[in-house]
Amino acid sequence: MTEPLITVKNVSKKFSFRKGLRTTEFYALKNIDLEIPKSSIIGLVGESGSGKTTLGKITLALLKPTEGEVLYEGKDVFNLTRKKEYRRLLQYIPQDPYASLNPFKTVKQLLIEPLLYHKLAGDKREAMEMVHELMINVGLTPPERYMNLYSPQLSGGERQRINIARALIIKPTYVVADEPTTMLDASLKSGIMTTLRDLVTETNISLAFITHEMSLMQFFGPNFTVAVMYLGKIMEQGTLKDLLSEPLHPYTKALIHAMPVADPKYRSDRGILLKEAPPPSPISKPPGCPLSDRCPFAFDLCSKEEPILKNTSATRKVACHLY
Amino acid sequence: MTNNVLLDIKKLRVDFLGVPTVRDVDFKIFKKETLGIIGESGSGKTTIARAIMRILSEDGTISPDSSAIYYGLGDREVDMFKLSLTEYSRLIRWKETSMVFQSALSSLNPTLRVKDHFVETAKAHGLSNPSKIMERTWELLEAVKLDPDRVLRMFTVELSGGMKQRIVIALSLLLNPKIVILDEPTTALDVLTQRAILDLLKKLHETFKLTYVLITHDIALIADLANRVIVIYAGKIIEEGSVEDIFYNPLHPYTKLLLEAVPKLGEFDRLPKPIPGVSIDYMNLPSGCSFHPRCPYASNICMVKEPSLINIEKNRRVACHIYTGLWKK
Repeated sequence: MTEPLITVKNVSKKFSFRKGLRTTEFYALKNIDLEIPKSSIIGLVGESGSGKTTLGKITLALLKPTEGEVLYEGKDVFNLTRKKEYRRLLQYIPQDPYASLNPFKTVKQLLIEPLLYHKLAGDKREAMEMVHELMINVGLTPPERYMNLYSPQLSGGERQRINIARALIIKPTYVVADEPTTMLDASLKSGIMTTLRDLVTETNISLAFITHEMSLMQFFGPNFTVAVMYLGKIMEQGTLKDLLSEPLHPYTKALIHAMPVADPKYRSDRGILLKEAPPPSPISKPPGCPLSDRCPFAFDLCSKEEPILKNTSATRKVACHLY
Repeated sequence: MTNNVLLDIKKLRVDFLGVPTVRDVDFKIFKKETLGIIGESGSGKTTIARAIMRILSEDGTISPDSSAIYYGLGDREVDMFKLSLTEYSRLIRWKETSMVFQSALSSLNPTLRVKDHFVETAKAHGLSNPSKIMERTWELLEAVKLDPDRVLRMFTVELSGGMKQRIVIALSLLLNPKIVILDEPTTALDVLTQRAILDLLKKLHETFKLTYVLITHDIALIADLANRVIVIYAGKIIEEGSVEDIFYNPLHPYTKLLLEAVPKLGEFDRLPKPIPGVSIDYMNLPSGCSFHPRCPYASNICMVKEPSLINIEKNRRVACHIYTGLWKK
């Protein structure tokens, strides 16, 4: 077995907030173990508050975990000697294309600056050639049309293509894409997803794709790993195909059951497979399994002991006392 | 059949600063149906809704030829576009038609308690009997499955996204309207919350005998809620049919491409394909059919002549030269 690119070892992240004199602390992530192999795709699915973005940021070393460690090719990312190099190798594609580009810079500047900063191009001409090529690859053609535009002159889809280009232009090894298509239309979504998929598979980048829409991940095919998160824990992990055809964890089941399907045949009063409870919040988690207050299959043990993520097969893990 | 029509929109045309964004749109809304309007952003779907509600921004004007005959006021037929704004808000707005806005999560006033939202809305529409208002509010909050005792005293910032959405839906029903326009009612909500809201909308549809107009770009949402669908592109209706027609027998190339662009849950044999080309630019609309630069079937006629919306069968219309008889490969 080769060494994974990123190893997340027993990571927990505690946040705190103050209300008056009282400081409340809560765990956004609790004892997470995750391995991201070289040139692979991993999907992180979960509702808001599940900690998927926090986990993504921790793997990028943008947030320091309270406990546990993050290794990049076996080295602790918070004790690196070559920080700048590491910053180049890990990249981030943000969620909101309307807020993430500097409006005072042209497309050309936005794309050339990272190249020159990391000295990946000898001179401006070489940099321009690289920018040119990548712009064609992300579907901004012809590049001349876009070069001198400012980001507010671009549409949401075009801006998100710039964001993808910006992340990929400096040849990273690992990219986190945090819901890159939520702000976009259905028809644009599929364009962005196809571009992202093609670029990632061609260049052997590892990608962590964060989303709450499971159907979106089908763009990457059936056989990559998806981790389903709930209140800071990974509840189930397996290939997308296995998760969709045979979900094990009650939470995964509920999630898949609740998703609207683009086919009127499947319409019915689908309902929610979980018990009614106040919306999940990492601040007030029930004891034991975080799902114990909403799970229809919960028994005594569930509210006493937290289940750990166990392998049920070589590619499948689930954290539930039922298994 | 006419007695089932609730709203008949004819020749709706909306210009923004002289640029036409909704062009010759005519369609009917039938009693108690859920009409889905689907299109990409900028296709004019929200503009149609805002025109019906008469809340277009100052730059937008409804052309004088447009009419929207409303049959919901007993024997009286009114043209909603011919009423003065005062008459419109006295007769129609919120009493006959109401709207759940796209940015529901930010459309509540953070300085007001939930109760005041209901009281203010009622007062703005001429209801002033406090006990009547509270009675109705109470009934609606229970209908949207919120605990009135607790929620009424809260500020809207204390509510979760799903709760806010429920409040906004309850507010839209305050004056017992017949038509409720839902503009992307579940964007920005989590999957489980979205399901809860969809189920709630279906239930309210039954209980209050509502007519829904669902505006969205999300095909899955249409499949889940609508029974009739209108597809619009560049401000024009390009196809209309029952939800089964649209999903199982799409006629217009755009509808076909749109369906192919969306992944179907659990289906891996067919990879979703993006729609080629760039989205609509109203300043430079292409000649002929506005979709021809992106259409894989485009022929010479498509570049010259704009196809008109033709009836294929009852309540089934399409605007494409393949069906006008003029198209040659």
